[in-house]
Amino acid sequence: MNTDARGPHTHDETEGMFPHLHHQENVDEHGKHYPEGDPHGHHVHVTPLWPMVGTFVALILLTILTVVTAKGLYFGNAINLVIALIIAGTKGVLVAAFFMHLLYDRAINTVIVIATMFAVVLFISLTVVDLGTRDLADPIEAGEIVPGGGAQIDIDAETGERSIKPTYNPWHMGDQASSSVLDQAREAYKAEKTHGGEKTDQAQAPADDAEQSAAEADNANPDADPNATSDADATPDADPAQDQQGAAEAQPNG
Amino acid sequence: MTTVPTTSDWATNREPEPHESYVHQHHWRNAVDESEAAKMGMWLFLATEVLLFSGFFCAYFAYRMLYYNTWRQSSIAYLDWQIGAANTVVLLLSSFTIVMAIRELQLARKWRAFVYLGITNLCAVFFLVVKLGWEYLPKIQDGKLPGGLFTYGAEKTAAYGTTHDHIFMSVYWVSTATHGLHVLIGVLVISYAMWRTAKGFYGPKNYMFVENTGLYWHIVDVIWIFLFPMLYLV
Repeated sequence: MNTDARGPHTHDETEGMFPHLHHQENVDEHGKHYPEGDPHGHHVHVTPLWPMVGTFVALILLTILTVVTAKGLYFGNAINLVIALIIAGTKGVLVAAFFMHLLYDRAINTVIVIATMFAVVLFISLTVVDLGTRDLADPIEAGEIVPGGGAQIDIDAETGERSIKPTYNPWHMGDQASSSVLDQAREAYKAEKTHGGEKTDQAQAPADDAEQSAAEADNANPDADPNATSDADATPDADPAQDQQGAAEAQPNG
Repeated sequence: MTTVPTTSDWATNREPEPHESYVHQHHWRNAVDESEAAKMGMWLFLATEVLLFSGFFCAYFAYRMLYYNTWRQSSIAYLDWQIGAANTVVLLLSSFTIVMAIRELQLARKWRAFVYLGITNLCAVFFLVVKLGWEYLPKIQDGKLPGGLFTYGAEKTAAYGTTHDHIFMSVYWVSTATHGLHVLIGVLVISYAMWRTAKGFYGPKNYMFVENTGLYWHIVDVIWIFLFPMLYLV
């Protein structure tokens, strides 16, 4: 009677082309016989069904949560990103623990994953800390930062000259995250005007012409893409009446 | 935990499948040691894959911080989050079905495993078709290409001054194209696993190739789980 655990029709091919003197199935180096499986008593684990189904349902729900919190709520760019990353991290942990079997595996695999996560977090956190504290270092030459990103356009009170200066506050908590450069320039110009300083007529005219043509271009630009999802946060400045009023307001100051 | 069945439950007097006479390589003590070592090797490779994509994530964070003013606007203007959400759901489903395929192999039901692997493949192909046809092709036609190749809206850019959409598109194209390449490689590997499963090479004693394929596929899914909100939603 064939009592081979592998089934009634199997042939023992453990010798093969390279015969071993002491080779025997299921015997460890101490000569102890152990049951099918490994000598440390771990059985071959059949993936349980309902934890996997539950994980899949949880992943779908977390995806819906991600979309709802990202599209429905707005706490500012940075906070929205952090919320989305936390939910994505939770989903990743669920996939790793259940789908990738880490919960049921030996611990060394989890150690490898944690070490990788540590490397990634170190890599990205040092970069973010560096970029977030650039204002503590010497000012970066204006030419090295492309204007339009975080740039501030200063209009000189005396000569009406425009100069572009980078801002050094990348977090901008509490700021309107999507105010355009032109609006910031307009606000700065108004602030300069109300806080004193005399203006000459020649200084106003070229500044106003440039502002008006830039205003038309600014109106055209955010609406350029017809496929853009309509989102109130994206284009708060595209109000022609407000721009016309702003331009008209600037005129009498000459 | 259940004990592993050693014969399939649909026939008794039949030719043995190749997986039933699987013998481990001679330099291993037993098959479990061999398979556990293969799995750990796969995890070490997956660590390098995660580090590859973390480079792209670092570029994302760096450029997002430098161009915080227009980053979200670029994302809203250029990307359709519904397509991304559909792709996310499909990839999550494919992760689930490949786990089920491994489970069926552990229960020695090779044809159910074959079907589950097939569904995984179909989901992956769906992902690639939607990405190439609905996302990449319109963008190429409009000139919304990465970096220096960006030619969309050139006349408006000339009038207003520089925009930073080309930088956002750089990050988007490189991240999603590398991820798409990984999905394509996954399709090829899963197809090979389907072929070998149909031939009967995988079963309760030998399913490590399919399990490692599953680990690779889950990493591809996890990468997309991070890419989707970062690029499409916030």
